[in-house]
Amino acid sequence: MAEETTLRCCACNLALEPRKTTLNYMGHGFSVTLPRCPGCGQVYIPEALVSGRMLEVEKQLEEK
Amino acid sequence: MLDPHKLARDCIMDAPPPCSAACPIGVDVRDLVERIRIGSHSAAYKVYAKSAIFPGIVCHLCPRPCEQACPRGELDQSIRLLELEKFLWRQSQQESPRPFFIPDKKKRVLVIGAGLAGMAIALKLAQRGYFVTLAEQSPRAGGALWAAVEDGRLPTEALQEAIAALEAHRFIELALNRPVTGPVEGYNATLICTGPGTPPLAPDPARGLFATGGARDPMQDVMACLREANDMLHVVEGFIKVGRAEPAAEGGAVATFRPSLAGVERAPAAVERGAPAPTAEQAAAEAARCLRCTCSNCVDVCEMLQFYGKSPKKTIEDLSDTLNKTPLVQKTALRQIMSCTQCGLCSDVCPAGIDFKAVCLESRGLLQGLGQLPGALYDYWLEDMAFSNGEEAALLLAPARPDDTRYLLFPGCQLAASDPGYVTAAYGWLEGELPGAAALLTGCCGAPAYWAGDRALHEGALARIRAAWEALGRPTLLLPCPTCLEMFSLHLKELPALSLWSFMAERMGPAPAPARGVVSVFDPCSSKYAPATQEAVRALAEGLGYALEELPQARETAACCGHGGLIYTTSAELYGRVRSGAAGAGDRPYLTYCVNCRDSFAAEGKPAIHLLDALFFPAQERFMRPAPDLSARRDNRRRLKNQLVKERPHMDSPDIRLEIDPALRATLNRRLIHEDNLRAVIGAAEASGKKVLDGATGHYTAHAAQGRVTFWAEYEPLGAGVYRLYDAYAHRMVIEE
Repeated sequence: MAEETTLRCCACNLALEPRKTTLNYMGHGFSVTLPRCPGCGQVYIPEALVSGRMLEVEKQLEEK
Repeated sequence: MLDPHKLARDCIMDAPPPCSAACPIGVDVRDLVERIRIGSHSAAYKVYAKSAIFPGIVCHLCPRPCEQACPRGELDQSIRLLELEKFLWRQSQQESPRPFFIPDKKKRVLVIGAGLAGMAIALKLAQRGYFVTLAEQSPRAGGALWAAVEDGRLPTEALQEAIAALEAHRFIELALNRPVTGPVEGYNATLICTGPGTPPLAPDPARGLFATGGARDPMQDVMACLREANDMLHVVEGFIKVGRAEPAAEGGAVATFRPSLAGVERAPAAVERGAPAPTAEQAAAEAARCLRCTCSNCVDVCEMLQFYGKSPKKTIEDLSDTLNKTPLVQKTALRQIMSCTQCGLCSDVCPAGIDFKAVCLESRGLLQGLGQLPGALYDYWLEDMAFSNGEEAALLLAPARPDDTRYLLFPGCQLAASDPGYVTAAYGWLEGELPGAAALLTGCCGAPAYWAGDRALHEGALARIRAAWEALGRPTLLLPCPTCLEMFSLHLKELPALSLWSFMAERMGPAPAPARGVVSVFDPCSSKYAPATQEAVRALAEGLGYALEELPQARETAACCGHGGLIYTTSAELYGRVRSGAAGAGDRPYLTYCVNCRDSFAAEGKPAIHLLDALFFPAQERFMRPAPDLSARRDNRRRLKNQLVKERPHMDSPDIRLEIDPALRATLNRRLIHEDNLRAVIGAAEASGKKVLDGATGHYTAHAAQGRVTFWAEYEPLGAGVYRLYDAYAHRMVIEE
């Protein structure tokens, strides 16, 4: 991801790094790699991911 | 109790068309005609012969009940089916039938009397592998059918062909000149088909001795005679197989439907009635006129059913899966259930009386009860309802002496959301009419909770209204919103309630007014069962000087503007289709009395006013008033309360002000994101410092969960509490941080 290099956590003043993150929805959990702050764990999710793949998976899980 | 299996049985999508339903011998007319149309004459003849037994006889003597039933008859001329049958029969004579092997069942049946009934049942039994002795006391088979030959109704070759078929069959012994006067040994069953007069043997079903209706003259009712032969076949076969004589099933009316003739072009019959030998070209042209009727009445009127592209039966099948409690079964009808606009048009046209509106609603409740209804599909509306009924927006204004309250105006939740002026104008008029006797209660009637199948929340909304009504000494409610009116009639029956429009029409009466031009009244779908309201609205509009031009769908066939059933959260695309269809239904500007309809049309660019615009505003300027966006709809409700509740401290302007360009504002609306949501995200991020800076753009991004949704804001502080918003989005997945 291009953003990774330029994203900084303002609370910890650290650059975000790709890290495993758990997302939960409708009783299903899965692990994805997202930019996170190595200090506080703050996550960044870009709009394209939210409106794209995440929305798609949400819709699939809603019909499960 | 909702039973998808019963629905599947009730749905008559697969029912025979009107012609087949009217046919005593149940010819599959749709199949037969289609095969003629594509030129498969042999296949068409097989379809015909299967039911007709003796095609040559039927195609000359049938009294054409199918023509009476054919829906084309209402438009131009019924399909000339008998002529098509004659064509097939003539064609078949040029072909030699292909014999096929039938295993011998090693059972013997004696049929007494070789008239039409005896001949038909003998052939049917033989075709099933039973050996039949067809005993006839006279020297020839055919009985009363010879009379039809003699008077010219039946060609000799048609009867000869039928007799030849019996003679040629290896399982039939045609025994002429053989009267039967007593029981005959050596048969597994005996069937008396001697027609009118005294039967030669007394029937005794328990011993395998059966009789067809002896009093019936086959010439009077050829088709009934063949039908009885068919029925008796099953009785005799049942006796031979299990030794028990079950009476023939009652041949009651067959369920059918009337298809719509909308859009069907007129075309006269291609064959003259009574034509003895139609040509192949005439037959094909006549077959092409057949509408191939199937029942798609519900699909024809429902944008949702068309959108999902499933047959009604498939939808019901998917519904069954969706309500299945087994966790691994995919909820294939979930989105359909949640996409029903609740307009009820489908149930009005269903010949089987299936109320799919109620089915969808009950399904929502069942899934909600199981905790299997995803909040993504409805909770935005419940939050909006909570806002309307919450501290920021809900208000009760009572006269100085509450005991004097005779009327309580309940404008619902959306009137003020669209424009607080609607509520103040209506209430102002009421106070003028009834000084000191009118109260005002704002809030939601509970429809969103009802549509989301959330019983507890729905009860809560109703209880709030009931409590206010009790506290005011049980006044009569005045309701401008047709949905409120519908909800009150369903769930708050004990509260006397009137449509505000009926109340106004009565008080205003006819008054001369300058002409204001032509409009079409758009009846909201929730007004379908409120004809008095629909009339009152028209009376008011005409009293104001409008000339009215009715829409194709009005009054009891009122269509949905897209807002009904709160389908946007399930399918924005379908919502768009319904909305644009409704907006395009008429060329004239619309006048409506549901503010959601008004705002839906405004969003579509269709000139539309609410009846209150016509009554209390310079209406001409209001036709193109834009629909307020979601954030404005909340602010408008806050504003109304601010304006009316004098002792309320003036609302502070928010600490955080957002600069949002119009394109992004439209995106926020599409994503159902309010400025309130974003102010909360930015406020928390600025207070805690928990935000991400993108060094490349200088923008901050922060997120926060609010309820079941996580909101994200990409922004830049401009100073003095002003923030420029670059993007905002939301998801429902929960991040474990």
